Amino acid sequence: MRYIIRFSKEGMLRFTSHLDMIRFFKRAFSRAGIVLEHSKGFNPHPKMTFAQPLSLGYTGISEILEIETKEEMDADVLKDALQAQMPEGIRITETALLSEMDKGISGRISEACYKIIISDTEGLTAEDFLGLMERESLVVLKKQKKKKELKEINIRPMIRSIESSESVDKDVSCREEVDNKIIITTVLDCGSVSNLNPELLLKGVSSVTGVEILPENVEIQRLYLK
Amino acid sequence: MNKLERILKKVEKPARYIGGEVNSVCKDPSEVNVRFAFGFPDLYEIGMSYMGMQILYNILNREEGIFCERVFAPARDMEEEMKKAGIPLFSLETKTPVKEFDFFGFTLQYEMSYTNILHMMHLAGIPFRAEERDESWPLIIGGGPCAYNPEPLADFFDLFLIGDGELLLPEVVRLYENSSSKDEFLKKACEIDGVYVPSFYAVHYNEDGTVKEFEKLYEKAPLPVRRALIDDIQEVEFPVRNIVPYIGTVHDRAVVETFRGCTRGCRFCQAGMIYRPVRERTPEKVMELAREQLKNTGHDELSLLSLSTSDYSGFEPVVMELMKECREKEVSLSLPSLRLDSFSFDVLNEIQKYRKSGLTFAPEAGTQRLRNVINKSITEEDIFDSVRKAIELGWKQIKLYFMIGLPTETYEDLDGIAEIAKKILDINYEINGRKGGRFNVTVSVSNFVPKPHTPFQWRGQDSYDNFIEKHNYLREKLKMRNVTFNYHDSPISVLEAVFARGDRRTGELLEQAYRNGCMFDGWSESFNLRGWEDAFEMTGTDMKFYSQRERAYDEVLPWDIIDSFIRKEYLMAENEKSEITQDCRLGCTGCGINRETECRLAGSKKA
Repeated sequence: MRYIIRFSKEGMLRFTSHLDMIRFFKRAFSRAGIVLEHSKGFNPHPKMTFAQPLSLGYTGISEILEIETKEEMDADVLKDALQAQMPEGIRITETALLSEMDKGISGRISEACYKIIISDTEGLTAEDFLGLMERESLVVLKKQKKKKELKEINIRPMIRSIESSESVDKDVSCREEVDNKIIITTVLDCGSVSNLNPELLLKGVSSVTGVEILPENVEIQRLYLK
Repeated sequence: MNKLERILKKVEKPARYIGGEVNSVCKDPSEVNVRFAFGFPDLYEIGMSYMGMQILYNILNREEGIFCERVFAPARDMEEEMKKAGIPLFSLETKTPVKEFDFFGFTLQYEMSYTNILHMMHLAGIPFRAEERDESWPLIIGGGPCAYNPEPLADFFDLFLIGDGELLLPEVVRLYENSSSKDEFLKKACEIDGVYVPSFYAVHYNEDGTVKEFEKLYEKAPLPVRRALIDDIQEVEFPVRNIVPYIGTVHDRAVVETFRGCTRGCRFCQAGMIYRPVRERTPEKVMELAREQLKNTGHDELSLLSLSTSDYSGFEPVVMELMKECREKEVSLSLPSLRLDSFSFDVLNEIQKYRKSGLTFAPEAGTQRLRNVINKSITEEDIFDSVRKAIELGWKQIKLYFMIGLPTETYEDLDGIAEIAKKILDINYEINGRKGGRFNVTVSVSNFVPKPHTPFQWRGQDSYDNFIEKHNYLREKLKMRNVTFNYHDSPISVLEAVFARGDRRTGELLEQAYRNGCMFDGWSESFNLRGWEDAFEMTGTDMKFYSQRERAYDEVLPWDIIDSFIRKEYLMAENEKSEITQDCRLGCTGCGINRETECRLAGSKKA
């Protein structure tokens, strides 16, 4: 039977990679006694698909995992059994049985919403971000996966919206009250067809404003996948 | 974002430093009496592969009032960030600075990890020398195989634990809990079998640099120090809630120790001597441990651990049962150290059905003559019969392990290595045709290091120049298609030899090397040859005195202070022999351990 699982990944767990998560969940299902269907062939692996990998260092509020189990079980039972195997930092927020129609939901993701919190960066304002939407193009250098060279790409078409938020974040990762805190919410292309990593957005802002944005001053949260 | 989280954003593999893994233990520090920091002197992904830490972590944390946390060496990038942010070395579970603990205990697995021990003490802000530390500092203690010659570390450590740790460690920690001062604790502790307090002894030297004698500075200190020995390992707990790492580690699997000790008596092997006698777990217990571990961890790989897997008396039934259960659970079974007889073949063929990895043999020497000298009883018939069978069953990768620099070795023995490789290629050609197909023989050669408490402990190590010459010789001889030749860097082997049989004076060499920037010596990219060379010069240490010198039988050896329960006469007799001494499962060979404990498996097997 196919199920969709939504979970959040926060706190210190955000320092695990996507591969770490694949490994982690595989074992969690095993400990929970939830038997997954395995692919056939010479190297069988459990049928478990993440809709979209979450970059190392990001928190995720509503991440999506699709699984196929050997036997049918009640979705709530599945949720509780899985939650019992979760460490602090991962919470199973929703589980649901997938009908034949909903199959492959992961493949139909097209956008993701991110909250970007930047602290301690002088010379940068929320307007610098909002202003990007007025531009026709925003060119950044992106590292190619295979060739490892840098290629120029225009990321503007992949930015669907940018808003600034006044709300102070209650998230675990952002306790201090700091001046110069910029909070931006942005919806970006996400998925196999078109995908924009928020880091490239930051690169774009940096090149337009000339202000360097250091990774240790940035906190990125993925709010949802759609 | 707190200080730690900020720097985690800047380093590689930040998950090395977060803790919080499934099955890691978190007690309330305010509710415990003793805090123990278990230090593994290398990176997280190396240390988490070590089952011994999981065993002792479990043993200590099961004790009420004791809380054991883990500490690993941070990678260089993290170390730099920690220094910039003013964060001293901290424990993984609660992120407590290590200097606040009661104990900082290191496992001594490998001589070349010693600089990392000093490094971790430095990062923790702890003074190196025991005499510089008062009651406010953690007690620095060490255990593990290298504790059988702890002398190079004697000036830095407060206490060593020698032998089986499962009963000894909690006993020592409890004693500390009930002692009112460090001095009282050390004085009481040294009376426990297995505890060595180096500050209770002074070492005096002869004119020629050899040890003259050990002098007791505290009259109740034992001389020699007896090792700790657990008669029945089933009486101590084996973990079933292994900590499951988030990141990939070298070994990442469920592990069950089938037995401790070894009966083969290979003359170069320290483990074979110091873990005697063989003590087994019953097949029922092994199965139970395997099942529990898989249930509690969710691992998809299970490994049986011992010094010689096929020697386990319950090997066949356990493996048959495990293969069946593992197949049902989609768990892969890993059986290292197999002797390749017909049963093992059936097993290996089954577990490696879909993807055969390499088959490994460890002849260690290229000729039967030399194998007999080192007491490695594998014949050429054994090897070639097995290889033939393996190739017929579809194996394409054969790995061979050898050592060079073995006692009595000649170039004829090196030729023997090449002949074995060539013969294996011939067998493949015979079976798979002249082209041979995708077939590879890997010959891995390491440099022999004489170890304390073995028959070869008096031998000199071969010279550095000889190692290089022999590597070159073998490289030429092994220039064959489908043969890969690997060897180990000689400088490290020489350093290993210095510390393996070093006395207390080598501690100065160690500290100087560290101050010269030497650390992570086991990693080729970090090995700092110049730093070590300078350290020898600056301390006036004679390398060859330690590595190449042949010791006399009547010499007082630095590690004579430790009693391994193996008779010295036995080691001498073995050193003199050039033929095979039988596996003592076939009949007792007189090592002497049966004076201290019952040797249940002596004579338990027919030839």
